[in-house]
Amino acid sequence: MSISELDDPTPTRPATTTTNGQKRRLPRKGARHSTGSIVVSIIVFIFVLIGILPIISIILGSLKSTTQIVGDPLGLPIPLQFGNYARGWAGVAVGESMSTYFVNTVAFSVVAVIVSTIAGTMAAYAIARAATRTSTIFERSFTLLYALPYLAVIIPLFSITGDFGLRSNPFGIGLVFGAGWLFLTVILMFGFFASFPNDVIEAAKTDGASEIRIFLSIVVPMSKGAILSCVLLAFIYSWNNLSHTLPLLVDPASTTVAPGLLLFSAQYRVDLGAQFAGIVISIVPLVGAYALMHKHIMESFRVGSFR
Amino acid sequence: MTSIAKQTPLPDQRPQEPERRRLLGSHNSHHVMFYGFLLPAIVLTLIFTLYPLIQSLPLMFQRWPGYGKPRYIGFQNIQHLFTDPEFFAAIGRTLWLTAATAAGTVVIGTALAIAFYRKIPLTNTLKFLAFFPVILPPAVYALAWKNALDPTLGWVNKIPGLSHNWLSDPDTAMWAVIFVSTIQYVGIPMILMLSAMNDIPESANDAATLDGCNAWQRIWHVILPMSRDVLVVVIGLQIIGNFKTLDTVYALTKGGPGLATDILPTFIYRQGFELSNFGFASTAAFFGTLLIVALTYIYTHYFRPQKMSNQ
Amino acid sequence: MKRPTKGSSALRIGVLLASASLALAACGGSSSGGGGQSGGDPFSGELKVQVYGDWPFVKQNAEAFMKAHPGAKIDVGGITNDDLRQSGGRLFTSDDAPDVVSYTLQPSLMEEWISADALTPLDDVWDKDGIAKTVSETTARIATAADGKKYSVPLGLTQTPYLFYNKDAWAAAGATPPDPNTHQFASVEQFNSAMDALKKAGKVPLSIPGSFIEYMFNAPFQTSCGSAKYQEIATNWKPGGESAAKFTDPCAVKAIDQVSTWAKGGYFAPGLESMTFEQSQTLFDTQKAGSWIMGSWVPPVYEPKDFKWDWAMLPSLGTEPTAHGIGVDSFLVPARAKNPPLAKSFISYMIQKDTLESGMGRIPARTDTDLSKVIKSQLEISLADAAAKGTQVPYWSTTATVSQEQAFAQNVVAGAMTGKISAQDAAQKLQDAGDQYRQQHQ
Repeated sequence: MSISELDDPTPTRPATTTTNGQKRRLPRKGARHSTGSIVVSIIVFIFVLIGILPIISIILGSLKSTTQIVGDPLGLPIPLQFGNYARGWAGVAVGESMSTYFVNTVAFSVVAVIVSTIAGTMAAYAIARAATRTSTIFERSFTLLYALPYLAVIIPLFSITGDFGLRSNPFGIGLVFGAGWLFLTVILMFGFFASFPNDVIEAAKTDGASEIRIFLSIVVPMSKGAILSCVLLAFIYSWNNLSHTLPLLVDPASTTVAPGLLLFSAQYRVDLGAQFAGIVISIVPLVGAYALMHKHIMESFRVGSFR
Repeated sequence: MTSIAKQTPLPDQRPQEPERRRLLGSHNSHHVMFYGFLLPAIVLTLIFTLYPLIQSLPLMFQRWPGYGKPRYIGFQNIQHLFTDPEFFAAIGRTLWLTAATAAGTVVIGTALAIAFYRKIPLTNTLKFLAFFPVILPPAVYALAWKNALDPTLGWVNKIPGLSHNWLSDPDTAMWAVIFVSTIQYVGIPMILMLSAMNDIPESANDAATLDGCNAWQRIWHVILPMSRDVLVVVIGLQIIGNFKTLDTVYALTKGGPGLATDILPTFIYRQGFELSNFGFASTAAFFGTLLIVALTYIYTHYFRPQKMSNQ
Repeated sequence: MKRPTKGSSALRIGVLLASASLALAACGGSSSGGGGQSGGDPFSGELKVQVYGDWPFVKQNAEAFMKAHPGAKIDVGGITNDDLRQSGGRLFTSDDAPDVVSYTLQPSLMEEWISADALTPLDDVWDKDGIAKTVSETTARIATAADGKKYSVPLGLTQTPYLFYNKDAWAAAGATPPDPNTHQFASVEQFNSAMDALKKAGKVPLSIPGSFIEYMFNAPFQTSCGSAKYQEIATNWKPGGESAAKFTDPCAVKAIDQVSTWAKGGYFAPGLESMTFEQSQTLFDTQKAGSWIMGSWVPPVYEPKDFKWDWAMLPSLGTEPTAHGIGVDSFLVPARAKNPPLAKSFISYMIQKDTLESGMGRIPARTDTDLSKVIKSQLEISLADAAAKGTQVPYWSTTATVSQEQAFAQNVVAGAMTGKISAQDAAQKLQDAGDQYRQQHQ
């Protein structure tokens, strides 16, 4: 089970004939479901509903007034408070507007994804192809570094990012987060490259191609699926990130979406409707990506779980 | 990760083909290319991971509120840490949260996988919705549940029999955290098990059918060996995750009520950011990291080789 | 299967990494200096101001200031008290430091910042504007640091706690409100019977969020021990200031016990610990609760639409009447401020009578303003008046250390109030937190 299956994420059930030639009777489309499976379906539906009910509550709440949110959480939003979205987008007077947060978050995420994917993929390639003791040490080290809690480094990072002029700069802190995220990319791509077909590379070498050429023109295009998985995972975790953005993006104009949302409900402020609208706005990219690429995303997580 | 159909050799057991050592060219350029490809990762790791780590080591012997001059206090932090019942309690709770969430997600995830394998009505839609919470920001999801679980104003308490101060009662707060964590991540074991089931080649299925096994028996004999592997993987992920991230717990309870849901990351966060005691926080982070490294090491070496032999 | 042995390659990598890291450690780590003082005209240049509670008022007046002094460019942003508590020290000593910040003074933090040279002394502003003559003695005392200097300029007062009560609901429940002139309950028994009546009528007697629960304790501590002894207990943590009075003294334990009894009597909403501010307000607003324990900053931003309300002091447990708990919202100038002269002129401008009377909106620290011009809410004016004429005492949660507040939340709230630990043990934990702080800061 390797990442190379990515290009065919949902294996379909094979033919209906059994090995001894007898046709197996698959239920026909129309008469497919027994009462048992309908009951199971209902149970699963209830369970799944519990899982997403809180989010539905937030979406409903984004169209309610604060009092309604607190007093009637599952009720219908009547009257519809579209003003919440206007205020949510404009941001708290004391903070910045949602558009600023979005721009910063895009900058942060793009840099983090690019940095971690490129550095991680290159490193994984090197380690996977050179089967030496050295490369194994690197592989083990990257694995252990993956387990490192960010809390162990975040305080010194505050000073370090200040010294390098990266603090309060979404691009800079994206670089920092990418540097931490690349360990997982290495782990994922290592598994992929380890089972990469050798003969293709050998063929290119006999043709006289350089290592870099081989990597860029042959290996990378053949690894599109795996790389896409790394990109998706990195993107999802960057967009949601609080661990690095909260302490290191000090200047309010550089804040990203996640910490920015916290300003809506701080101290003496009471504008839950706008905060919920802000939350809904902020998860739109995630939900959109999921709706479009859910199969691929599930595969990314599946493969990401196997080191 | 035992797929009956496909098997990828683990890195340790890769055959040492002589050609491979020459892979990246002749001996000299071998080194150059090797380190060349590794360079970006090494540089980034040096600057943003190793350098801060090294900087945080002396902190263990200092008292520092996060600004100004640190004060050297010798082994006081270490002494305090190892005599601090709160520290050990936090570790205990982290392990408990890990085990419970892992068990919960695997059991429920497997049940869901079976249902989807059997293609119950609306399988695709339900699968889509079941996995959905995984991609949401943990803090947002936890906040949503915090509102839902509020005893006076949340909707959970309106369900008969469920009226309780889930998040305020020290006896139930941890269960609430486990619940939220489980529901959010149930999708992961679900897809792992589902893929494994779908990977069973038809030949094995047919052989079993010939032997007279019905669908349920086929599933059972696949699930047992499969579950063990999935459980191992999920526990590994959970260990790393729970020792690293505090989003869910922090958003739900901030480690409270009192310290009832205080796990290692919230402990470190509180010592450092709320009590301005970064020396002590670094000490806790250091020894906590040692523990994770030890656990990860055990996981890598004890469990993985067994997986290979488990066909 | 080959396993990595401690061969030469491992050693080589180790040496490489270690030396590289050490090299970085040697060269890096020196912060470039910033924050040059712009000499000359104290009315021009750029100013970065970060406030929270009075943001509209400060922004409005920053614009007026800029009109009067075209050479000045003032940017008004936001930062909360919580943010400042957590990262103030780091912020003030870094390049990102703003020039002016507003903050509800927390003495232990102020002392830490002062001893780390994170703040600029502001005695010159006090002298120039004669502030000492225009604020109450309690305010001046709170603003004076251990070294006798002033590092803050008071803007407004936060008075807490108060019992805001729904007059209609109380009347309907047959609960006797306190004297409308003195705003005090005649006795604890009167308070208790009012609470019981509200409970019987199906109302939550007291709505208060978990993070504000310390509001409930100020009056019991102060009236049970007497103001003087209470201050001694609350400042017991000061290095070199160990006093004989402790939290474990009977008067303080009695205070904790009393609130605990109220909790057991069902006077608070269930789930108190995790209740948020919004939820507590909604309980009161929707009349599910008969009263709301909050501070003086509420009336300017909230007005119940469906019922009449008034304020009262929490009941006295002893012979002294309940005093007004005071917190001082002040301007601070970080040490790394880039334009201290302009910062000081701006602060000076903000606290002028005219500026405040242009509609600050809540209780000013100055006692010589025409309150009807400063504040719109009648209730608020009433509160300001009462405190100016009555007795004031710094309220305990801004007198205690942060670690004591943590110990409070963990032990008193989660323990003593739910009956899981005794009031004596909770008091001991509070005292221990203060003792530990004192030892660590000797």
